[in-house]
Amino acid sequence: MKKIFIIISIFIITFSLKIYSQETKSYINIQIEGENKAITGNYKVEELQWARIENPQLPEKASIGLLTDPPNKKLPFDIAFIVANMSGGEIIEGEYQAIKVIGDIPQFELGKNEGFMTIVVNNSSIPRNEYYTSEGKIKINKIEGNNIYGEFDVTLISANDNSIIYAKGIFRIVL
Amino acid sequence: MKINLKHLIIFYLLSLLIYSCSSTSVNNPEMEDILLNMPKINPFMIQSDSISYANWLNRKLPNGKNIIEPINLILIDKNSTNKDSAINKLHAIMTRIGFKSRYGHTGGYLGEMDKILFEQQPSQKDMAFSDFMWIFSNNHVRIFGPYTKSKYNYWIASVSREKGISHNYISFSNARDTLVKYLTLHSNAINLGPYDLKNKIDDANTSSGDHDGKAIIILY
Repeated sequence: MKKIFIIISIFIITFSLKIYSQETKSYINIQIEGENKAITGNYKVEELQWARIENPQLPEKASIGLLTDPPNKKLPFDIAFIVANMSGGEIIEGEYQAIKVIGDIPQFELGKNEGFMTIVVNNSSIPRNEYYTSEGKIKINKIEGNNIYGEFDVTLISANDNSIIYAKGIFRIVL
Repeated sequence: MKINLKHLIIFYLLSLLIYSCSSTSVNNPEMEDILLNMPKINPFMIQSDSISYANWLNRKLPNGKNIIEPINLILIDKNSTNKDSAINKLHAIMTRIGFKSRYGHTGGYLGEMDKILFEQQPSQKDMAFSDFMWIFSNNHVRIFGPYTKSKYNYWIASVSREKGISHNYISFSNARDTLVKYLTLHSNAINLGPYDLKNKIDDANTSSGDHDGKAIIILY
């Protein structure tokens, strides 16, 4: 009887820990379509870290981003996105216009809620094929304690060969 | 078995062959020449004021110590005959190995060899050579020179890894080793091994992070 009790306890603890660990992870569920067949498909991205732009001229919570880190070896791509409140306030719920990135410089405009996404194809070829948003939306649906929930629907263009991909999905950032 | 002259000759030739193969990396005359002409290197990256050492934008390590940014790579160009061709060759090789000149990094730093200050490559504002855009965690490098001495063009460099978006410090050693791997894998560059710059710092207030005190010498 005692043995059964111990086994059941271990099972409950293990199961609870598993549930707890799942709830504390950031993730992106993404569907990619378009001209690059190497990365089209549906993916769940889990090895992610969040970060904010650290700049003395910006409020600490004026931006939030999510990036695969370390570089992802399980998926055919790495992904990162960021949204920023360019009005000088904190990140709030709502839509963030996806902006262009030219020469690694995101084309932010003051006074707007904007963001961008980058997808880099993982293979051995150099230079790597890098996609940047050209248009679309990143939306923060809910900020709840340490959790930020959102969705995106963006078009990305390759800086290397001008091919186009479409990415949409949902994300959760656990701070 | 009798040992005769024929056996001795074969033994001598085999020994000679083994010696010549093993000695190419250790007793390379080119390496001796490079070391003989190696300039006296200021072992830290210098800020644009040409006085103070670079300190990762005055950000601290998690233990509260100031960061000092070490020189951890020496690049030696043995073919370029003037400054412009050395700069062009450097940019070409860095682009080829996937470390192109990219926006999103502070620039304008200096490096010092034989008490002479050298400007940074890439020289454009807010740029460094990097393997990924700044939104990703990336390895990036600022390179100083060229300093022509004897028949070689010496460059010194500070390579580091930072966290994406925030630009916070991650590593010096991992970044240097990654860059060396890409240089030897994707170009004709040769790794000549470590050169002790004795620039590992860890005192009460200042640290060179995970740097091991050595620069890797690369010949191309």
